[in-house]
Amino acid sequence: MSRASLLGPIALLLTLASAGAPNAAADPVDDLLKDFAAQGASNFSAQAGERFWDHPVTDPKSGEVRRCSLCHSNDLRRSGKHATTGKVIEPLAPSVNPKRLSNREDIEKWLLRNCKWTLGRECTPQEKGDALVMIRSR
Amino acid sequence: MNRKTRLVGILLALSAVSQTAWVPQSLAATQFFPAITDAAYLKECGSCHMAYPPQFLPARSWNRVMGSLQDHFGDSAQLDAATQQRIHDYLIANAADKAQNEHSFAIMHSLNASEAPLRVTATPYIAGLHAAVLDPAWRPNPRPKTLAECSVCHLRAQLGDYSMRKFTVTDEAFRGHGEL
Repeated sequence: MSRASLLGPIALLLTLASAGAPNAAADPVDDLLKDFAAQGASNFSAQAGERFWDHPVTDPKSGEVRRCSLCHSNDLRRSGKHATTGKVIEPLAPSVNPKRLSNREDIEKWLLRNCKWTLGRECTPQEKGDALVMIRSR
Repeated sequence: MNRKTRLVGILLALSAVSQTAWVPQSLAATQFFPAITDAAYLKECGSCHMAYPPQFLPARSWNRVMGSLQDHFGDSAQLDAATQQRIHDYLIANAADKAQNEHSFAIMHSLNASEAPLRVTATPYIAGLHAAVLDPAWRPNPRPKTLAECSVCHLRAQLGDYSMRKFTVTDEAFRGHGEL
């Protein structure tokens, strides 16, 4: 069998392997970005995510200035501290904490809860997408 | 006191005790809490604060906590319905009302039947024990912002052991208390 005739079956095997694997390990962030795009968001960017991350919001009830970095710190590779209880929050950056961004339900749960506390409202699909792209890049 | 009157006294004391609601059912009553192993409780509640032993609050308190997760001390602690029910069941099954634990008895005794505090530290027994911790006049060390993280002082809290603690007030502050 010539080298060229081997390439066909090898390519086929590779295609099969790569088609099978991603289903098991589909990236939940990619999934979510697709959903956010379907809701009208577009051009997700880490820069926009970074601006969003550090954007201060004054809580009308307490007068406190809140932002994402208050609990998660500005360096996502470091651990943060819960603003109320002081409990240590493990780093968000997947590069140092591979559990992060690995489960879609967890991501959605925390985006819902934490947007409500920090901004006093749910985040828009654009804001969530930008933030996820930024976190993933860390 | 002769043997007979002593025996009567003991029996009277026992019958008086047995009329109160929260009495050890056996010698297994302990000052330690069982290690928390419920995965959902640890994950959903223990992410933001220590997963407190359910034995710290009566069932009626846990009902209130689990019924107000939308506004959980100013934070949203929303859960999906199935997870919420599972955690609620776990808390009720292990609440202070039923616990064979000396702290649980003390907590229950310190509460009126109509009281259902939302915070462990709002139960009179726990609040009383911690009065000095948040009072700067006592110069406490460590000086936590809140009482939310038991393990700051109770080094073995994660294991259910609150007997060991690392906490001091200075002698000077102790002597000068009231004049500071």
